[in-house]
Amino acid sequence: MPVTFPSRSVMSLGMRGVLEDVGRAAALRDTMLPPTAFQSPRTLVINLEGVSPTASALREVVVPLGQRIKGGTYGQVRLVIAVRDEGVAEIIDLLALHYELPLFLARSTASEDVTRARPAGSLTNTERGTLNDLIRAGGWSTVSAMSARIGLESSAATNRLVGLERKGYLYRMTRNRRAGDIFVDPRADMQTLPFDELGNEGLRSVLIDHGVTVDPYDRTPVDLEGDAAERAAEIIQRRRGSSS
Amino acid sequence: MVGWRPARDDEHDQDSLARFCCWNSDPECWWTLEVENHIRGFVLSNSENVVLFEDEGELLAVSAFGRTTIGIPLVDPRHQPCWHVDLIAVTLERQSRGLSREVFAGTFERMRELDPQRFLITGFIHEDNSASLNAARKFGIIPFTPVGDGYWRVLGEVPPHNL
Repeated sequence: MPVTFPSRSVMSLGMRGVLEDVGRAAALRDTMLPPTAFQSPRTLVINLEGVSPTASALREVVVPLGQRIKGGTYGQVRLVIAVRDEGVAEIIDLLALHYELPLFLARSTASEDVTRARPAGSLTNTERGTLNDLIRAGGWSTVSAMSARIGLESSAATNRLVGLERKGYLYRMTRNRRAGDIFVDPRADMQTLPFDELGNEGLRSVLIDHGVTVDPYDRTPVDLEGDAAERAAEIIQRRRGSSS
Repeated sequence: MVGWRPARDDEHDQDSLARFCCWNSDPECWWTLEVENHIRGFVLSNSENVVLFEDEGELLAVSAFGRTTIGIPLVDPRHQPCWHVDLIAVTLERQSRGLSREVFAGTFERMRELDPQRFLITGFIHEDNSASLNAARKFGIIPFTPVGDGYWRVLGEVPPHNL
């Protein structure tokens, strides 16, 4: 069974402007991301740009999402929230700290901003330092590579990486004992990740060579808008009508 | 007579797929090379359903798809079941010879077998891939939303019975 590499999906609430109704916030959250598991590891980048949530609405979006991710509801999923407003980012930071939610805060959904995202939540200075080291090193590492890079005993490097994975800040891609597991930072630029190390050498390589970041095999649930939504609604109504 | 069957993750089908050729070596058509690479190396392990189209044991075309959902928030807060088509490809020797009708029909038939209540279809097609866009359009699968890098999300439906 080949190791499946984490992919990245950008999602949005499907609205812009002021969001103050808590019930609506919950509905938008669950429409965007129903509580069902993804089949493969995935970094979800939730785009809050253009949305001005009240504190209560923001809590209704962020806390259940973070708790579900922490509890494994979505499978092996990690969370990045893209928000330009520093005030909103600060509140998310506080929510993450209070509820011990593993997440990252980015300025936008652009790949370079996701890579620069800052970790939020309950982390020690050592854990933050380990995350910084990992992202500077390309976003992934084995225990032995990290141990050699920063001069740590192997057991200490293991503790740091495993601890961050258990808290929900890293992926752990299991390999055989000789090769050693790979720990991947969800912020990592997907094009820098070691496909060959994971047995998927060449996956989407033509797209990557052509600078294409869209994954045509990505089956992440999406919300349709505009003409597409109208067309889908027409199909559903016609098919349901003909079967009743 | 072209027939279809679900692919098996065994040595025979792995070999057959590893030799599949749909790219005409035109570097401008790199999206076809991507599909060829994917079929040769990854489709069996990465796609939920793979359908092979054969004539007397010779592999002529491949389709791959999996389950997903789409949301239409203005209509219904629940997500709707949907198929995501990963790829549909016809071998180089049989392109432009009317095989796409049988390939789409077989793919639709397999989808109906697996889940008759799942009739929406989505997928991605590159905007310069006119052959695929035209073939999809014939079966009511139409590009609606740009998703970046020249790719468009297409949308259509599995017909309720054979074409």
